[in-house]
Amino acid sequence: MRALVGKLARKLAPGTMESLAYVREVRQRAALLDPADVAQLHAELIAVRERVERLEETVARLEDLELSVNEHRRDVLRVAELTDLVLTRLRAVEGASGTVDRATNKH
Amino acid sequence: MGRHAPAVDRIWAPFRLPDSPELEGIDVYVGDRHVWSSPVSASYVENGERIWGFPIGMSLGLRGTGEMIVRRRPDGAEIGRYPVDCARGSSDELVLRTGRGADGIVNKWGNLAVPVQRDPEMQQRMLDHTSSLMEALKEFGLRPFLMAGMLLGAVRDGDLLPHEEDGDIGYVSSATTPADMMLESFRLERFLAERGFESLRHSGTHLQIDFVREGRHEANVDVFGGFYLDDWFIQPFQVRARIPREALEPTGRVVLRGVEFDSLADPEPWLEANYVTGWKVPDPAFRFVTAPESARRMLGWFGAFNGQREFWEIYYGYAEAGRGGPSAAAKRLARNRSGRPVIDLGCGTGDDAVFLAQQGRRVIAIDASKRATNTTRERTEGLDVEVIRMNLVERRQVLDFIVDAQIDEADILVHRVLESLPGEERDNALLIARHLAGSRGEVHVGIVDRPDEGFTGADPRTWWIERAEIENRARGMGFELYGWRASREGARNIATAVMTRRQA
Repeated sequence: MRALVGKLARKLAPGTMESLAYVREVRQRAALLDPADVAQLHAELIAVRERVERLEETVARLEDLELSVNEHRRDVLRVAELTDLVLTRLRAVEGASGTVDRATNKH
Repeated sequence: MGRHAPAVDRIWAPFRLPDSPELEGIDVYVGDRHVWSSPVSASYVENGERIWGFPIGMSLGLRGTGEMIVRRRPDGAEIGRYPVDCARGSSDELVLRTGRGADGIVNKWGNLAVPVQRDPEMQQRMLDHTSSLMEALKEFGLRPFLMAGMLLGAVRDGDLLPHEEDGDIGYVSSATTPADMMLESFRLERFLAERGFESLRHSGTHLQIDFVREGRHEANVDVFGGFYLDDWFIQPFQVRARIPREALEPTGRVVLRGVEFDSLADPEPWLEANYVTGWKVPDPAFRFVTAPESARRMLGWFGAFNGQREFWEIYYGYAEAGRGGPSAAAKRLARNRSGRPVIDLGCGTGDDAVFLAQQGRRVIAIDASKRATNTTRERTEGLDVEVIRMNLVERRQVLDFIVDAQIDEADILVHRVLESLPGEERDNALLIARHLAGSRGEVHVGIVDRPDEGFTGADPRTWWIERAEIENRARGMGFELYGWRASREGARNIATAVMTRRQA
């Protein structure tokens, strides 16, 4: 009967028997472990996870930093373009209206 | 030879060749003429084959029927033949020609070019132009030196490189910040313009000076400004290296074809920074590979204003004006009977400008291409059309135009332009709209809104842009966008829409 059930189970769900056997083996091994070791391992696992999370945050910050640096570099270009435009226009206006006395700021 | 229409929508198969460890690159021949070289680093491997994308310069310049022969570098063994049929009814032999009928080559950027090597007179004139430009730079107060291909040729054997197309001059600026470096370059541009030099700006520090003779482009010489940031010498688009300052003192002399030029005290560190290793050995397949950390800095600080301008300039050497008639966006714009002037951004050879002017509109037609604006000017003679050559990628030119334009309220036409502008620079077109459309002007947008079968990164005619991006940019500039309509232009899926100022 047992052999028949086993045969049927293998047919309906191949691999199930192997999985059950594996679970039994894991339980047997777990029973041999020292609870203190398990607790320490668990604590280390949490510490590692926290470190990974911090690392991910750092990577995200660095990526944002790189974007920000590129934005600032582009701003340099915009500032130079605007400065050139404003100075050229002002010079043209000054040229049209005569020289400016810088000390008194008068034309 | 008459004008040759480029295969606008043709899909060119890539070069597929058997891969082998000995393969260092390919040399491609049309007949017995060497027209293109490319290294393996410009290719990729797929199913055991090494694949090179078809360069856009070839698709524009090939005509006739025949085979291109592909030879292996370095031993020159024939490894393939590439059949070409672009005769369109003619049985002419296969040639690679420019729009003006000169034998062309494909340069290191994949574009069609004419090397000066074939014309000794032209070579001499290019050297003369380089000398005269160096004198002008000295007059401005700079200390120029011969650089890039010209320096390489002079140092190697006192001759021009075999595929040399232009002259190259560099200088070390006394500026200590990128912004000051650019301001100096802008002043230099005006100084040269006052002395009759025609220039084209490629970046905040890179100017191209065009030399024209009897109305025809004869040669160009590039001027590259560089500066020291602490110990680093930075000279876009390639050099960022710790070169000792004394090596870059322009106290050396080199001789090129018997003409003496100012050069660097020690050219080797500069050549090594520009060409990396192996610069002493000639390599026709050489391609620039800028280190990413250098490219990020140079692109961020100084921009890149080409925006496919070189492609369009070559393209308009072939394009037939008036082939397609007015665009869907122009026809839609013409339905509003406002009588407002129209600013046609990216006018090409003027199909829309002619159409709108014939509808009674005053048109300001703008394009970055010299050939396109020249053609538009010829076609619109006698019509109320002002043609302006302006680069939409360069914010300085855009701002200048806005300040100078005597327009209170205009309709803006921007058809098949936004998709070929670099991301951030798309706002430049909308900036013109924001300042010159007034409160009632309409902005008529036409875009290719989805990829077509023939998409290739090298050909901006096949590029597309999503409607959502246009909507977002429009909102950012204070416009409402409405009424998307789909249509076809040749092989392209076109979407047009209208933008108006958002009411407060």
